[in-house]
Amino acid sequence: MVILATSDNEQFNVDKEVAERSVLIKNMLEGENPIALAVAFVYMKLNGSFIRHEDVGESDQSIPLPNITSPVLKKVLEYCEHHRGEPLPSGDTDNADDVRKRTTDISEWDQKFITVDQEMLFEIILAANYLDIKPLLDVGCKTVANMIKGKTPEEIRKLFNIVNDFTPEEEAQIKKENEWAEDR
Amino acid sequence: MIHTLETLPVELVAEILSELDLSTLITVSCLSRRLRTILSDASLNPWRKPMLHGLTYVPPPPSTSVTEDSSTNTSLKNLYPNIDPALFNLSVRNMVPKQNWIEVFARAPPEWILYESTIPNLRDSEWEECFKRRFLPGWKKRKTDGRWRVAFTSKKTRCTADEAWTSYIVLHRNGVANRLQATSRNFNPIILFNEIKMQNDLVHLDTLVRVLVQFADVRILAFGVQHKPRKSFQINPNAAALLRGPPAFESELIHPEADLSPAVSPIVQTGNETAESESFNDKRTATLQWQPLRHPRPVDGFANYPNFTPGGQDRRRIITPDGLEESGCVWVGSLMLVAQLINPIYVSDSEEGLELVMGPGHFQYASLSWADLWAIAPWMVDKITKLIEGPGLGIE
Repeated sequence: MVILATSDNEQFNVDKEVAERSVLIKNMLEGENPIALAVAFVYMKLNGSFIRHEDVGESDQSIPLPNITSPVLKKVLEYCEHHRGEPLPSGDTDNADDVRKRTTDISEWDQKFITVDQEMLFEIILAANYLDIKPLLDVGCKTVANMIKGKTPEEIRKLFNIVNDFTPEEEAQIKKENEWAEDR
Repeated sequence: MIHTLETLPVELVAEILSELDLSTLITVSCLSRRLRTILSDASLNPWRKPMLHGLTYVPPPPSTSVTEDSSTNTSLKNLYPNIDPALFNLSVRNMVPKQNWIEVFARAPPEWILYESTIPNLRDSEWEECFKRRFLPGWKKRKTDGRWRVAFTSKKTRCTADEAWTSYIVLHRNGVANRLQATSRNFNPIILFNEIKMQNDLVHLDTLVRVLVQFADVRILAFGVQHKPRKSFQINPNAAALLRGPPAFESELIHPEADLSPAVSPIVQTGNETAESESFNDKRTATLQWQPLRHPRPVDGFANYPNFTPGGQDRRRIITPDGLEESGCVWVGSLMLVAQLINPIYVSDSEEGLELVMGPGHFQYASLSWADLWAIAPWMVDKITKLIEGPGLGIE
């Protein structure tokens, strides 16, 4: 078992196999990520405890996750639990399959899992990025992309609270570029 | 802190944007300064994936095509149904990083590039990269006026009329390779190979044709015959070495007689990767051991070449489900290699055997040079014992 400590001081007991869906935690447990170990070291020192290299991953010592709150980690762990045992993606992002993958490629369970409010969705994306869980990051990004697709500019601005901060001159330039592209 | 789309780190925003289609991406570029800045950043480059998807475009059903680009008329969409209409004039938008066009031009249909797309203002070095990714290295000889753009666009014609003679390569079983020529006007590889079969006393065996590798404009065809020979000297080890690809060759049991095998090394190497020799079947399921070929870049069906590419198009080597290779037969006699120009109207990925060289649109060929052979099969440098221009047995 691995203990994960969130920024709001909640602790989660997690199976090692589930926790290792995160490449960050996997590397920490294997002692392969000196940066992650350094972060953990600083965090533990600030909190009045001391972490040794050999302590990381042991049952009585927790791994601090200072960027993640407990509701978000709970959700991330739900994803990791469901996908435990599945092969981890390779680091090669340049292969043809990757390019061919379509935005709509989200499994039914993942779609249901990611049906959350917008704030939680962005928190999950940030947590997946921090913990280096590529499949979860993909699901999050594809979900946001699907929310944008098929909408008018005004609908997108309203949905994501985006303020149009272009100056009139910039808007005129964009309009001109659009006309130039469309006239050809 | 409450997170919104705009407060996410730029790398994550770029990751999200790269999941969009081109039309939506253009819409997003008009929403705010921050999003436009991210879209204009060449290092973040959220355009790459949508642009490459734009070459395998699936039109949305009418009811969902809300943001469909009105810029491209219906006739063009009908001509190129698999190309995203938004890609046609995308190059006029300054925010699209130019490096993306190299990959697009390495894959897109030639007529689309020449006659329909708005060609961006690329540097000569970028045109050179386009050329190298798309064409066989032997085609560089067409670069006559020193400009890569001219060389790139002039090679995109389908006519072989500029070559009076078409070259092809024959790998003989004694390790020697000949580069031969025939007139382009009536170049017919079946007739040429029948002649070779006659010389090898193999007329009674059926001709087999395999696609060694396919690129955007050309595919390399291998003509040979298989048999269960009584005598080992009939076996062509170089034919097997070529069609199996580099990782498999050393451990194969194709050479019952040791003296037939050229010098072998337990380690094979290409690019910056090294791989232990192991069986082809192992390779089929293993991770890539060899750097996939990038100059020129094969089509998606051969994306992992010289490694095996799953998907059905890579049929260089036939292995039955019970693991028997080529039904127990081996390549005998000479193997002939030709470069066939592809006309996508007539050529399909599912063609096999003589279908590859029969019927309309299958009679245009380009010359194959030694440089082309070394580019697509660098491991053969050590296997071929002698290169001969023109006919000859290679006997001193």
